[in-house]
Amino acid sequence: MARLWISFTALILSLSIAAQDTHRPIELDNVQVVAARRLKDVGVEKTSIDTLILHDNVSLSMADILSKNSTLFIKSYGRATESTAEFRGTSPSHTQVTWNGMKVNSPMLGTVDFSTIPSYFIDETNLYHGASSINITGGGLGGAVEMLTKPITEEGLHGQYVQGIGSFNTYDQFVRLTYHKKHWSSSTRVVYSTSDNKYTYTNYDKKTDVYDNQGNVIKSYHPKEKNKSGYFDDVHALQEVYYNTGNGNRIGLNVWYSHSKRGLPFLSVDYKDDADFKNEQKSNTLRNVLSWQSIHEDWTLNAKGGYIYNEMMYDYFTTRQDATNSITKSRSYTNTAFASVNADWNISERMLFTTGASAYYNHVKSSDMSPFHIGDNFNKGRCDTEVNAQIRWRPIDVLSLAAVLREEMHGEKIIAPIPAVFADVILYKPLNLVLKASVAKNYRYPSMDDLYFQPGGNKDLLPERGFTYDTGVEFGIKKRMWMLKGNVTAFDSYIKDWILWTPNTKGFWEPSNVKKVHNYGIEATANGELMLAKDLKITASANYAWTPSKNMGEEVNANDESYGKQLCYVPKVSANCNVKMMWKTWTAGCQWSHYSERFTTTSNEVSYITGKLKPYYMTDVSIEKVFHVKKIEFSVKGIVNNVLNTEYVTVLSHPMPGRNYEVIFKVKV
Amino acid sequence: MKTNIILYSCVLSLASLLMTACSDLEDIKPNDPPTPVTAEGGVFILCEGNFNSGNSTLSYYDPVTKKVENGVFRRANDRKLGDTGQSIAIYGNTAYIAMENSGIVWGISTDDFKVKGQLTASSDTKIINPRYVHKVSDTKAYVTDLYAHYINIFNPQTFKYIGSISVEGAANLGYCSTEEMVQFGKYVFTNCWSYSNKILVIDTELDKVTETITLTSWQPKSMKLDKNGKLWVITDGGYTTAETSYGDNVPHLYRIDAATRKIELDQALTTDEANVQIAMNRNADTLYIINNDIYRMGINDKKMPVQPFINAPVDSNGKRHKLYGIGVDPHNNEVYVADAVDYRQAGAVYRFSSQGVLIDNFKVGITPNHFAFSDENAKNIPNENEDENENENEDEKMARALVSKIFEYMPAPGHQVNGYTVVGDFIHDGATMEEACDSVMSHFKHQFMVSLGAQGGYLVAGFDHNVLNSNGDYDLAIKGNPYSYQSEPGIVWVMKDENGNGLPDDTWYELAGSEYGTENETLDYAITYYKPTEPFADIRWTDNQGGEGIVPYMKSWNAHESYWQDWVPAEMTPEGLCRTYYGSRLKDTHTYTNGYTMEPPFDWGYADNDGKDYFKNDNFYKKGAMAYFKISNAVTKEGKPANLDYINFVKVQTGQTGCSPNLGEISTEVHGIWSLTPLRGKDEK
Repeated sequence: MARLWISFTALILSLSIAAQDTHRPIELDNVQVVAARRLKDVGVEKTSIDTLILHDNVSLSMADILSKNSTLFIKSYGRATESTAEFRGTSPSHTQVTWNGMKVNSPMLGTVDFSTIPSYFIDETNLYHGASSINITGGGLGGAVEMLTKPITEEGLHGQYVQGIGSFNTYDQFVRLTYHKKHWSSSTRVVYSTSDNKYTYTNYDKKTDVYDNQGNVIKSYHPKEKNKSGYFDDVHALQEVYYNTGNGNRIGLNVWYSHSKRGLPFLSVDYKDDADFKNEQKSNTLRNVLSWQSIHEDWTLNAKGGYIYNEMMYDYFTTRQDATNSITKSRSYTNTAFASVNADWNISERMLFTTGASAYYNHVKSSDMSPFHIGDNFNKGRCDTEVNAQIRWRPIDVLSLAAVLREEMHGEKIIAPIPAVFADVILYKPLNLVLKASVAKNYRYPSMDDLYFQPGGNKDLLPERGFTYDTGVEFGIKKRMWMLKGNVTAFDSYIKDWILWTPNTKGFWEPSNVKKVHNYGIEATANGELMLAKDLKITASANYAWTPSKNMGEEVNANDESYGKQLCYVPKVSANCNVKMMWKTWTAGCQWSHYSERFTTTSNEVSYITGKLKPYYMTDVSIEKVFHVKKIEFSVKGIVNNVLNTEYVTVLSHPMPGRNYEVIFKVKV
Repeated sequence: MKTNIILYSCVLSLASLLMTACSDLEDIKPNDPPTPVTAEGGVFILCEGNFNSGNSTLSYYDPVTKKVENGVFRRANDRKLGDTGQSIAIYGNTAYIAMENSGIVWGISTDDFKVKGQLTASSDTKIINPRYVHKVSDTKAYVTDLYAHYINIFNPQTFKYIGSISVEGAANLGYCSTEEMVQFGKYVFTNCWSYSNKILVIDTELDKVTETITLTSWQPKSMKLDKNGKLWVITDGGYTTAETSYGDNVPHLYRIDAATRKIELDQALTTDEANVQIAMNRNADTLYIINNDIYRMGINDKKMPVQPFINAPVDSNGKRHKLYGIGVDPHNNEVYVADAVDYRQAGAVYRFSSQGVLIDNFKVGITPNHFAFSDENAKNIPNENEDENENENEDEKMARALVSKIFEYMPAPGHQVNGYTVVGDFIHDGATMEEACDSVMSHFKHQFMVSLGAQGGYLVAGFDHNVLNSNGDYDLAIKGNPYSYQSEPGIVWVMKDENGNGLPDDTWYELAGSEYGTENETLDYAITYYKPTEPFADIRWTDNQGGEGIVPYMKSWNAHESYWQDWVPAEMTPEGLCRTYYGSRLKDTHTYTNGYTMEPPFDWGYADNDGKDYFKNDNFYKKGAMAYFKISNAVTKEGKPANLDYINFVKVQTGQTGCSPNLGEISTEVHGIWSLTPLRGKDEK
């Protein structure tokens, strides 16, 4: 590692010499800081993450991006392990996720593993907090994540290659070819990431005893151990083709294939040898969206069709001869067909009507083999349909109102209507100070696992239902040398009939509607830019969330002390801050993130040593140099993650890596 | 400009340093070292934690001080116990803890919880997920496994790995899980749970499976050996789902002769969501079984009792606690039961006396599942020559023999029922019948008094075993509070559970006493009480013989505003709310002279009656006298011998209608009802 660090330093120094004669324009971003909000965004609490951030680091997944650039809580076991996102202390299944307008939540689990989505494959991400998610989909009791890819606008044939080399034998390769001319545009992206991921950590959960000849312990120490079975080998390919007729019509096709092979890291308290045992998950996923967009002066029409295939294979097996090779395994095969149509009608400058409908047919076949069950878990198909109508109205310049109504049908069951109303009031125009408010009722229908998984599935589950109230202010100021914008939102939400899986006395798990959860709190974001000189700019963004998320459900029995307590693993406070300084062709960055303590028991027991995870503060720094040779842009970026070598865990008994390094080379033609 | 850049860089660096100043893992520093184990020994409680979280813990409970210490392993050893603790067994002063998902067996000192040795699932062993440890000898111990096709062998003193025993074929579908172990002579028996219906027999001299016992139901989950060399095995019945089937969800209880390997008893149990487990008492003559509730069963019983010994706790809102683990302290037969609550927080442990009376409850780690007691295996080795009850104390004896459930408490009006404070405020206002019955049961466990009120008032109780007719010997004991000058006789009825449904819904037979068939007893008697419309009032009664009278309101005895019990069903008639009791009546023989009441006893055959069958029995209860009854005295309605081979239920009913000026109504009092069957052969009379 020392050798890598020296090489990296030398590289930066040499490039600094080369940078003397290369320049790039540095100016304030052309961000929109105006009070006249789009009618479509009336009352909406939305966080946007743009391409610059998404394409900052080839080794990042969407889980990393969301963790470091939003108030979402990402529960992760480390790189390339299952990572789910939670809004406002809700559960991962309360986060609805779309990719180019198609829901990608697993119909089986109801969740999305963001670690399987490379950030380089996404061009824009919008986070809809709380009630605002109803603008794009139902079921997002916590919120919704909208991931979009964008058609190429740069004319001609272009290429980009990115090579990342990191600690723990980690290699990330990215290649992109784009072509755009008149009506046609095409983009091909491929990411290939591999790693042994065998980082070293001090295992405080174990202790090595040294004995003397009489068998007395003469010395004990916490051993240094390698992360076992953390390897990954992921490949993704995304092909996009768009045809623009030139008269407002555009047809697009997005095809995304991914293959993943990942070891599931051993616990820090596992005494088995990873040479003898493999705990591995493999998946193959194909996502396709065919879209037609027709844009006219007063109306817009979008029609989409899509298909998702996913197969997941989990195996725990041994290479030893003393057991059946396959100890446990599970298989699931999911096929989803999707169609939607949406229309916007600008009735007047002050009124917009939107309507749409979508249908998903999901078929899941799931089976497993374990000491508890062997055979099919279920083999079911279900059609989920949805219609919506939305009206937005600006009666006077300073006031905008919106109402959204959704109706969903899952299989043969129609759930109650999902309504939401939104309002915007401009309070003080010089500061672009806007007051926003919304209220919504939302439902999430149980996943197919919840209903059908055998043993345990519960066909009598009710949909989870939530009420959310949001209110907040946002502001934006832009001057010649600086810009500042931000917002603060307070929310209050109740979720009833929360679906929770608990073990029964026979050894397997069963879901039931048991919990009532009260989430409330404050979310705040701020973005600023400051031009210090002609070629020197500092940008900063910060997110902060205070999210008490309390179980208010009925006690299991008189011994249950979870009432009124913070939900497991949900931090009350999360915050992050990104600061970048750009000088000519140099960019230096510092990313800082923080999670407050997280409880591991429903009763928030603190007398246990394992009862809570201590707060942690994570700091990453980077420096990048861009230089040009004719029309070719080169860049070299060095990153030090966890620069202060903080020892931390995000989940019990899963230590995270200490200080580690990456070097990223980019070539763009 | 360069100065500015350096300045800003410094600011950024300083900010990041400040922001990272306090990082740490979970709280890694151990708390205070745990208190060393007391000389009397205590209870080790293994809490399995949450799968894949590594938060399994060990708790220690001192029954003397009632102090519990949690997380003692971590506190003593500065390391985690591991993931998914499966079992703990104590031999001598070493506790062996099998940590299933960590692949390790710890050996710790029972004195200070310090690690003495460990055996891991390293490449030179065949351990994968260890489940249970059984010490065969001082130099050999077996470890069963969920996944391995072997039982591993190690030296329990040195923790050196010795070898393995192949159990290939123990189960189906690729699994060969082995679980609990018991030893009979040179043979160790182990039950194979997952996808299996087998018990394996291992010859410890050969370290080889030599025989297999095949059961009729699937997935034997728990197994114990009794003092007679019988294996007691309980299965969970496998499972049936909409998609697949492996078993029928019906647990079975088996008794198997360890010598002949023959199944002697096979009883299908009635529940399918049970965490079926067996524990054995010190003398290995009584089983304790979790099957939603806790059942107690003598090793000579032919079937598991229908009535629980200890009901799973039920909250005031009707929520029933799911029981997760059970242990019986071999030192005193106290019963420890675990409640995992929601499996994500501190579990609770209930400690009951050997009689089933709650002594204590306390919080431990997450998902408590297994108990071990200091040097338990040294004390629990079955011994053919040992008298089964030789070491049993009075309380234990009584606990085994006491009725296990009250089905009805139907007192007639009386001044010792509502709000009577002599033995505590017995039944609170607004109580339900169920609560009233629970209160009676609780009183019986403490031998506290329960009044049946005036004539006709009764209670119905059930046993957790068949009370056998000894054909001439005493079979039942009922404690009352008669004095030589004051008896308040109650008539005793018995019922056999002929339809086997566990409910007292068959035929009652009266146990004929000395007055049966004479003019002193009226059969087919009915008495009706009328609820007063005003508080602090007498309660009127009429009977089917044309008689009438009152139960007087006697403020000096009990100032409660009414002696009418609201939990007792009543019917509305033109004369108001009333209720009628049916049965037999004994003649009122009391006298009242010069302020003194005399209530002479009948000769024999009645509860709370100082007759010749009211005596001390040194083999049963040395502390005081009781009335003893014979099932052979049961008669049919026609007065003929009922010839019952056994009974399951008893009804005690106040027999007389008398009422004296200073004592009020005659009311039978009961302090408990016991079966002599568990002690057969030990009575003097």
